[in-house]
Amino acid sequence: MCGDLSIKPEGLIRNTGQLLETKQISKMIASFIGENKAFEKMYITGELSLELTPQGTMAEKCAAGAAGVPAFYTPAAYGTIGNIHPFHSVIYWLISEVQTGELPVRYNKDGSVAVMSKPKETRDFNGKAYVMEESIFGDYAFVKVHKADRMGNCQFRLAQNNFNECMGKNAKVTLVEADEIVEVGEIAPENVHLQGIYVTKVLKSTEEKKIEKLTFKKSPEELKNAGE
Amino acid sequence: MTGAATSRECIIKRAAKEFKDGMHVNLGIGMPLITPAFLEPGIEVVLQSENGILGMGGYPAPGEEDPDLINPGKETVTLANGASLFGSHESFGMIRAGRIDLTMLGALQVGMYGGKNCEF
Repeated sequence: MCGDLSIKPEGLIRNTGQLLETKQISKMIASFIGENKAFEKMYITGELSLELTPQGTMAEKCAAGAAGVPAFYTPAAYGTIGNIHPFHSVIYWLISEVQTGELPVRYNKDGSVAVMSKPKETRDFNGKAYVMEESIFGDYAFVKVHKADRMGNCQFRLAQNNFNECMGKNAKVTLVEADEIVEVGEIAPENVHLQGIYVTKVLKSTEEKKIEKLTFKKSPEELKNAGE
Repeated sequence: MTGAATSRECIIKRAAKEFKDGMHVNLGIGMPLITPAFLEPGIEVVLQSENGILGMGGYPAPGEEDPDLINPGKETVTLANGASLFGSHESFGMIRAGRIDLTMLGALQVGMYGGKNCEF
């Protein structure tokens, strides 16, 4: 599972993009694929499968799996009529088709559909309709943290957490890349964000962090005129 | 000012009127991210960023940028006073539970009855 499939050299998950180029990905479960032309081509020509999943549902599949919960109900993607909208070479689906099972998971080389997504079970609770989603039980997680100690206790810095915590807790084998490796006891117990019980190995980062979209503040006038 | 700039300003200013004091707001990519610059006087809102920030601030000045502090559009941001940080599961949990009062989405086309097409 991956939050974003950026393939740019400075992309935060550029290694996933590299796995895509070497055709080592057979199925992608993702919430956002819009900025990756290579992925889009491989999907349309039937080289890999895609399960488009709302981002909150993705996060909950990881968190629920991490907590030993096999399935859960969510209001997200409960059905309205959706449509497929091809635009230039990018394909974008409204999330609603996730529930009714009208999204192709995999195409054949001739463009016909090989595998359609399965419709999801729904159930009412307190008069409101929900979709049943099954949790993910990952084999491997590759996560990034700020500090990790030799017991695998990890701490995030600023907005580093995002999917790292729920994915790190989910997988059978979690490999952590840390800015710094510290001595046991250096991270205060109440400041451990990803506990060592979930972590298999810790490695120190060797590359500098990069910024994908360096954005600076603009005056209100500049903001209004931006995008022309 | 060109026609396009006038329309943009109209849309942004009209959207900014939707904010009420004390709201927790999630802003999508595009014009929504510009609306906080046009908040009416006396209105304070807390901006939520779904990658795990409550109290997202504006864009940084040169030199203030941090690779670990970005919004869902991967742009560098800052934190407002009183901000808190957490994971994506927590973030979407508070959205799903109805804690966020308002969300504004960027769109290419919007149907008159609310259907929309999005494109990057």
